[in-house]
Amino acid sequence: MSSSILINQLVVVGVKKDYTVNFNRGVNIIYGDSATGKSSILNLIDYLLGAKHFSLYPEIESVGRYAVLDVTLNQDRYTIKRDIYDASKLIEVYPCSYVDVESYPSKKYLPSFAPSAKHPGLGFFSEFLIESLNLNNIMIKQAPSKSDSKLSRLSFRDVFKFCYVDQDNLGTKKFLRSDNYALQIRNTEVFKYIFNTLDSQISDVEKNISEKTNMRNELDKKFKTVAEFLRESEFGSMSNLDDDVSSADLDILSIEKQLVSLNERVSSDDEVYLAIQSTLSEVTLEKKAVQQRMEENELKIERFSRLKNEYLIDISKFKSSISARELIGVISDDICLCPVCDNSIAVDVAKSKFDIPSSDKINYEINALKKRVKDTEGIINESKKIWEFDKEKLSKVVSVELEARELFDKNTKELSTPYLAERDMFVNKLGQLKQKRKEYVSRLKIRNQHNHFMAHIESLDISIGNLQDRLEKLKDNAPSMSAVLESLADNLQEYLKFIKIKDPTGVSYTEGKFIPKLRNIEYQNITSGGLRTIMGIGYLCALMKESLNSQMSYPSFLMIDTVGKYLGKTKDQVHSKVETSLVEDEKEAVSDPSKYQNIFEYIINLSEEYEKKNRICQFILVDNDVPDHIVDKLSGFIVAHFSSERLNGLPVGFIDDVKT
Amino acid sequence: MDLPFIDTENDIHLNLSVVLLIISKLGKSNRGVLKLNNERLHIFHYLVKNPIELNKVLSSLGKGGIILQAKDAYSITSISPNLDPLFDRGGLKSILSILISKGLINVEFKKNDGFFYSINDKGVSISKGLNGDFFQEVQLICEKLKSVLSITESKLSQTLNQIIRKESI
Repeated sequence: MSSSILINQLVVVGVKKDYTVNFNRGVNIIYGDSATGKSSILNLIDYLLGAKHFSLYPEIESVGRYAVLDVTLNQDRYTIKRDIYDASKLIEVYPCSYVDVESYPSKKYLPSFAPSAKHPGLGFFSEFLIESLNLNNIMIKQAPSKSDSKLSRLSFRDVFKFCYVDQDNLGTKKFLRSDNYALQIRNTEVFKYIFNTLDSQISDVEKNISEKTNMRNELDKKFKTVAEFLRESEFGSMSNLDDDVSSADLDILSIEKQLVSLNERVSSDDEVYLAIQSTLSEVTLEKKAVQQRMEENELKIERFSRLKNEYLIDISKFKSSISARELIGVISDDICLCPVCDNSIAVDVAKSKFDIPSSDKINYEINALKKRVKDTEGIINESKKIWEFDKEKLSKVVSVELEARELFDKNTKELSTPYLAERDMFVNKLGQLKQKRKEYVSRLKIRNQHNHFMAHIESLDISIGNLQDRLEKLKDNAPSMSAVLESLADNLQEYLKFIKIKDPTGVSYTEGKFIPKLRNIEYQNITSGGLRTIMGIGYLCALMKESLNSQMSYPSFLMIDTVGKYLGKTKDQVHSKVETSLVEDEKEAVSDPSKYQNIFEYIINLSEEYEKKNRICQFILVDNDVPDHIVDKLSGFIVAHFSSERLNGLPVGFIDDVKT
Repeated sequence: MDLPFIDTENDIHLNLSVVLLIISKLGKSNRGVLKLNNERLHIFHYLVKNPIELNKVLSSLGKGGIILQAKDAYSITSISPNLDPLFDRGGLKSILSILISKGLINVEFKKNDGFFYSINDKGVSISKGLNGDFFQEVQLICEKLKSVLSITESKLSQTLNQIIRKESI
């Protein structure tokens, strides 16, 4: 699995308009007069890929707001957005092309490894790039010879150094060999890393695999636990749930239909009900009449019984009166003396207050009373008879009424109860179904969430698979540095032959520092600046070529600023006499335009080789003024061409609307 | 005023007999103390003639009841007793006058409690002859009333008043 960086588009979003350069797969050439912003384009790309700072040039400063890079890292397209005035501001990354930025949320990253108190927990931009390019995230020993060396994090910038050379560095003696010793050591370590020959490479990959495997297993465990839980709670599978929801929908529909038809049926069948109801009310009326007559008779019986008793009491009193009269005797009208005082008692006055009927009269009265007793008894008996009759009638009426009521109830039950029950049942079931449907839908959501786990696990699996592939290859090939250097030296020699320099012999790399040698002279000791430029480009091209053929941690991306530096191909090139010896340049004949052309051709051939292998690579080459005869051949690769005099209607520079 | 029928309430012999029986049974306590003055005699006379009311008074005083005869309990008087005699002292005075003139009872005057009545030998011999259905009933009631003799007249009349008031509401 090889890594690749493919720049699609660079945009400086300005106040009035956006300034855009589009890039293609393979070779891209930018050329134009000096100070037209060619190098700024490369600087911006470098900055958007995490460079510490970006030196603004006046035109951009006056109109720009922020810069955007639409880039494909391996397979995934991202849009990187960064403030151009403040390099410490967070870098935003959108998981899409620049056109679709509006519809995706961005993820923010810290631009450097410096810990930020303001944004704790945010990831680093470098880690994002390393991750996206599927490079191994490792720690680099600051002192490789010591086993207890301090470790520092590998930064994407360390790798990117081998992808970009700016115009200040190309061809100089310092290029490839920094004055800073610590940096030199670091660079050699990164070089080893690129070729997977670091001592710790295999263990790092293993570590990476084990970390990812752990993560994967944890996720898998989670997934299984949840799955088991869902299964145990009879949660229903995704497809079952789908079926459940649709079948619930169908049931709901059919029950609603049945309810409508039920409502239509209820309104018929009323006549029988009415007939029974009228009979019932008649019977009830009759019952009430009988009850009333009975009550009347009861009252009559009571009253006549009391009267009869009264008569009987009177009879016994009259009889007693007669017997008392015999005992007490006639009450005389004599005046008698009071036994207490000396007054007399007037008996006749006392006597006059009472009735003193004759015995005959009393006897007559007794007989009359006896007759009346008989009469009242007759009335009582009569009333009793009627009462008895009514009672019997009442019991009959009651039973009839009972029967009618039962019939009525039964009828009511038969007619309306089943409807009610049915209705109840339907309504009940409808509510249940609706509730159930809701539950199914929410279960589906949970299932979806659950499946998300699976997707994550799958992506981890792919990543682990890649790492294991790599591990296999590492173990199988176990590339040794000397073999790598041999291969690189072959590439470099092939390149030099293609350029047709004089005497392309004695080509090799130094052990330990990995610096190329020509005619057994180390790079920094070559006196001709033009030759150093050719060698420098060759050094980078050898990397690109090697990446095509072997497993490397290298993103197949190369930006070279001012390809023709020191090559004296142009009329008005003035170079510092310190950096290059014009005599040596003359001797090497580096200003031969065919050599310059050969460099381009070699690079174009290299990109074609990539195409043939269906691999992605990108070269971005910048130069001042490409000779006209070469321009004709290269025109297909030119992505930007500026002219400070606006010759032939060419834009004045990358920022083309600033009035100076 | 001549009505076409005779009212037993106004029959002189009946009234004389009842009062004679009350005096003979309740005139003296077991220890021979005179008990019947005008007030108590008046109340007793009313109660004896209205067994339903008597029953209520007895139960209200906690003295138990008498066994009512069906014809007494289930009569017209039982549902609407005649209260007039309670406010008529003249009737009882006349009866007492006649009994005295016939020489059937003795009268004694006590300064604080007024006149007291008791039966004499002649009265006893006559009262023994009074034994029809009605008189037997009166005698039974009088036996029952003996338990009430120890109760003061005021308490007795208060109880009766309460019962009458309750019924008239």
